[in-house]
Amino acid sequence: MSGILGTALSGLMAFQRALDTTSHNIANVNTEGYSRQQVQLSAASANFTDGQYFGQGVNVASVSRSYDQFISAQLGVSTSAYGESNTLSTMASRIDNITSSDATSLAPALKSFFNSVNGVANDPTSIPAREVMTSEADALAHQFNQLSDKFGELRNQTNSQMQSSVDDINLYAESLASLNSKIALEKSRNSGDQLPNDLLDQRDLLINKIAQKVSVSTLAQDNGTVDVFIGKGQALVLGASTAKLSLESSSTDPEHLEIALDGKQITKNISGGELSGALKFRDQILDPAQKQLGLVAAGVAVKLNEVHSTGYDLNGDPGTEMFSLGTPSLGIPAIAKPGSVGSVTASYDPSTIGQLTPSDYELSFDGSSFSLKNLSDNTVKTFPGTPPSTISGPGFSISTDASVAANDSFLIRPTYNAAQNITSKITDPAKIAAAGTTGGSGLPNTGDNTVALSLAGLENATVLSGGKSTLSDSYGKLVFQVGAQTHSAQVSSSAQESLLNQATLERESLAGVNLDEEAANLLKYQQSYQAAAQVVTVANTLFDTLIGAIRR
Amino acid sequence: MRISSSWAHQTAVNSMLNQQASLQQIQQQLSTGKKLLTPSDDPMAAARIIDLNQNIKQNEQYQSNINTARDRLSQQESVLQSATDVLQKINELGVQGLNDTNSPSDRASIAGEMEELNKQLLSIANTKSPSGEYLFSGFKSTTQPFSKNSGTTGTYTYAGDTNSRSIQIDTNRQITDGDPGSQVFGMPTGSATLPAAGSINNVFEAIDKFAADLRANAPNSASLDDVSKSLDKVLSVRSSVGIRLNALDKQDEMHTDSVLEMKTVLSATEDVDYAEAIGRFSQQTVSLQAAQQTFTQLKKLSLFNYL
Repeated sequence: MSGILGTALSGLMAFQRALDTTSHNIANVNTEGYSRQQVQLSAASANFTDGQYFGQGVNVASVSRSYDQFISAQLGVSTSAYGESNTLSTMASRIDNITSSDATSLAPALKSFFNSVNGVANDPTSIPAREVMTSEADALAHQFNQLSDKFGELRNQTNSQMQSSVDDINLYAESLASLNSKIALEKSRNSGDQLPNDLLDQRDLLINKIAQKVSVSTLAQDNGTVDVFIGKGQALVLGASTAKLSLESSSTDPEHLEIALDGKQITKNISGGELSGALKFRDQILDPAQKQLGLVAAGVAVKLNEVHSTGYDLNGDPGTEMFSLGTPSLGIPAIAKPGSVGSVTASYDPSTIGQLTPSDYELSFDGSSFSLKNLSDNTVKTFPGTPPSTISGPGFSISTDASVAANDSFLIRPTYNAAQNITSKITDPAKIAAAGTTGGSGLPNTGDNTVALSLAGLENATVLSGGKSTLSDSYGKLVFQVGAQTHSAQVSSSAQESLLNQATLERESLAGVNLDEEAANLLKYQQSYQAAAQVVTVANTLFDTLIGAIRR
Repeated sequence: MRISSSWAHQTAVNSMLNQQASLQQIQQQLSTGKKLLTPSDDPMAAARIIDLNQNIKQNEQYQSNINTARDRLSQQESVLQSATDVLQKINELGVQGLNDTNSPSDRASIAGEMEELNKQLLSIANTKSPSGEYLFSGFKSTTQPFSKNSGTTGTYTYAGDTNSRSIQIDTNRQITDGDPGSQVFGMPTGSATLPAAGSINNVFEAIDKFAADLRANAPNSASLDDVSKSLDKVLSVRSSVGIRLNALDKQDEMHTDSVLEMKTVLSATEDVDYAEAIGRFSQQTVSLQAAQQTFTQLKKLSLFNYL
């Protein structure tokens, strides 16, 4: 009889645990990263009496969570891929809107400028027509500056997005390390058979959150901790210790940020996640767009200056420069890499401006010859010689100072800053050199429009990309490139989204809580509990019967 | 397959959000009238639109250039018309003056009339355009082209040059919008000695010489050749102006046609087809409503309702 009571009691206990777990599941139906738990019951070992085995009730073997390592890893991979493509597509849409919107696009400004040049060609004596041209030239330079400013804003946004991703990753890594030590402690407490399910869920969620920022790989250790690696096997979390991710300014451009892990640069190894999305946006869309815009600006300034300086103004004096790209007006920034002792100066070369490419260049000196490396396609041109000498690049030339020593290297950026720096230099309408001839200073040929005609002709002249593109084509190329890249980022983002949805669906299908299922379990365990309680009543009745028999 | 309650909720919400986004996109297309809202919608078409817009504006600029050239040439045409009238009148006077039945006093009065007409012709040659430029001084458009020399009698100076201005009327086509005075009225001898009648190149000098001879009662019939040669020069420039005006009209028409054609292509590329877009709009509205209704229906189903 004590057997009946004991068995019934084990049932009561087990079903109460099962009801506890069911209510825990219901309570966590909306908890992110929660895996539903199930009580695993097993029959208690039997008692050998009277030559037979008699069962002794039920035991709670374990509380297990529904978890599949493969599905969980798949979810991490999909999360990284979606994080990357979604960031890329969101940021790309912003630049896409900027390059095409009528208010910010370059195309209308370029067109209005050349219309005003035609106006001067039609009526070179007219001061109002010349005034329109000076103000349109100013507006054109301003439009370049404005677009470049917009690109600068996007660069700031990208940098702050990278900063917040890095901050988040560091925060998650620290939480993960402390969870690691808690889990190791819990696991050592019960010889490793029982798992702290809810802590494991929290850790999986953190890994997934890091995966959203950057691709991770994990390695489970025997003591229950998980090591997390980013990039190409760089450890972010090892057991209870973490490495610190940070952003560092590039040595040649403070606005160009590199990613470092414990002080070591790992930018090239970063893949996946929002961090990589921001990097890809910067390196594959924003920087090329800025350089392409700079190419157009350099083309406008150099070609118009070249033609304009062949003419004579309304005072009969030779034409001056129309646009400036910096100081001096055709100067190109040349930045010495750290450790270089010499200096170089670079400037645009009007005779080869058609060869200019939207790339940065690196000039280095090895003691006997110079090499000029195109940083977009890594092609190298070698120029034997020692400083001081003059190096002719595509569209520009570099004068090296005698102080240049072996192992010096310099970053040459012919297009990167051009749109930012372009300014219009002519404010006096009489200074527009529309005439091709002059009678001398003070004796202008006011009706001569030959140079104005040549200036207007630059609109349709294929002056860029090795004589293949007009100025407006080159801007059209920028709009097309940005549009095509945005389009493909959007397509890839929606593809990755459906893959992520698929992975989430699989995880949720396995681990998510279904309220109807829990309601049914609630009913099942409630009924079982009631039945076990009935067994106690029966045992009680049996006992009463026995007592009654003795009392008689 | 097991369905997770929170995921079922999330997917239903996501699909409604997506439907709303598409609806918003169509609504924007309808309200802007543009099929492409950003270049990424169709990068190829976006590049083509920039090209088309560029070409349309380019053609419109050429049309505006043509109008400028046409204004100038029309003015020149009417000025040359007056010059022709004056020269014909002088020619008649010359014929009349050569007639030997004229008395010296008759010839003097004919000479007086001729000199007045020559002054009129000079002022015609020094006509300014509405913007204040001299029509016949070449590139030196603010310098008066012809003036009578005060020192040597009967000679003139041309202060302009022999250039003429071109106007761009198509990508590879320019047209001159005027002719230098030296070509229309002949280059004067300037300070040099005047050649004999019959080989005087400049019209003013020829007429002055004619008038002076008449006044001296010794007209040279060769002077009449000078006048009619000058008349021929003016007429030949006039006909060349007429040809150019005609060419401008033809070029203008060509631009109008190609602008129209490009605008048609542009519209087909970037404008929304309203019938089609409204169709999509109502279709999308229906499916959003369906998603909303099924969502609320599904939410009502729960086993807990029966516990």
